[in-house]
Amino acid sequence: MATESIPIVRETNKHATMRRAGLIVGVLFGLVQLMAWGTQSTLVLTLGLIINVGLAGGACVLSYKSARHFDRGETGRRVWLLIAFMALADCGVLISFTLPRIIGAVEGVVTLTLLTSALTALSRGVLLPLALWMMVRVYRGIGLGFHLERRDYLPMIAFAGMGVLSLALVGSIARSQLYVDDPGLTRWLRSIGLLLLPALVLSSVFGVMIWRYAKQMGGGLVGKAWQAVLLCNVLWLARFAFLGVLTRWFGIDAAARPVLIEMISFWAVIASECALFWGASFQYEACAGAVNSLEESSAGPSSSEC
Amino acid sequence: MQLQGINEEPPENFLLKKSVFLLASSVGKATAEKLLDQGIIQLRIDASRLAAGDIPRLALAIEPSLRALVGNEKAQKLASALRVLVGGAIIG
Repeated sequence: MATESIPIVRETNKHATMRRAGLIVGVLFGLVQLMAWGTQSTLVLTLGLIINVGLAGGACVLSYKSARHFDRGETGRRVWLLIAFMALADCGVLISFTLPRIIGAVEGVVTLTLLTSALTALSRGVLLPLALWMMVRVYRGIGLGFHLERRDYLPMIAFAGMGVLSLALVGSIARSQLYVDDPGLTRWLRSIGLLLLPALVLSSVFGVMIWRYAKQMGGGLVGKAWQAVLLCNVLWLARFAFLGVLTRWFGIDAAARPVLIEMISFWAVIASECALFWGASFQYEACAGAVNSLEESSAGPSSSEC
Repeated sequence: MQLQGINEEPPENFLLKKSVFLLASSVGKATAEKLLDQGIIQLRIDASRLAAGDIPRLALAIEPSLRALVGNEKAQKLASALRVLVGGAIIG
């Protein structure tokens, strides 16, 4: 029996190295914060800000570069520009929340904080569902089969539930996150929240559909990219709902938050930004990386990821 | 790492598998299989009689779908690689 052997050369994958570096930096910072037991010193806050903005900024640049690999008018271009905007909005909100705490000027920048929060709500509540819907159309357009399983309805309901809960607790979240306790503002936020409700419910439906599509793709960088983007959004929303519940029903205010809760909140942000960075990096690798066969990619460093 | 026993496969399966392997790291194995199946149907090729000469046309047929997932440049690279690595390997 004739036997053919194909030697496989292990190549270093710079995209995988970047992803690992992002993850390691995030984990190391989490450990540093654990060792400091959540002490919000200027150094810890500054380090956290640099890491978070680095991850979100990296995700923004990679998403933008991925978008440029698609032709004008191609859905992929619009989708990845929306993701780039989402990452940019994250950068804005991270800076506007953390920088005033570092320099001790929280009260002076409430308007800026509200503006960046509104941009984040717009990007995650409206633009992301739009991007997911566009991707569903792309998958349908290329004829990829889609089978929603019974177990998929549970995350769909859970995700939609978290969205509804976040909107219901928007006043508490404003008090907890924005350090603002103004009944007029709360009413205004609730009105905006009602408009966001359909988008959040659709987001959960399209999110689970994209997750299912990504699973059905049978691996590959594009599937991994979308799984990471969805993970980012779930973590972000879960943190939002978690802080809202703590403020509303347990009376834990921003100023008197226990150290553990403060750390969980911080880790959720880092994990979310790390997932977004990974998603953008996977898509950029899919668009710009060298052509590799499955054997090569499974022999390479990226095989251990996801 | 070494892959062995490829010659045990019938040639048409070998061509398809090699094509799938080439696309799978970017778009996933199931997507690659689906796109190639669609290309074969579109070109009205008998899958069991797939020859190296069919690969360039097949690459051209699946390029638009690849473009939607990985962009123009990479889709062209993947289609070229299919023509050269899969089509060319058997002819040569």
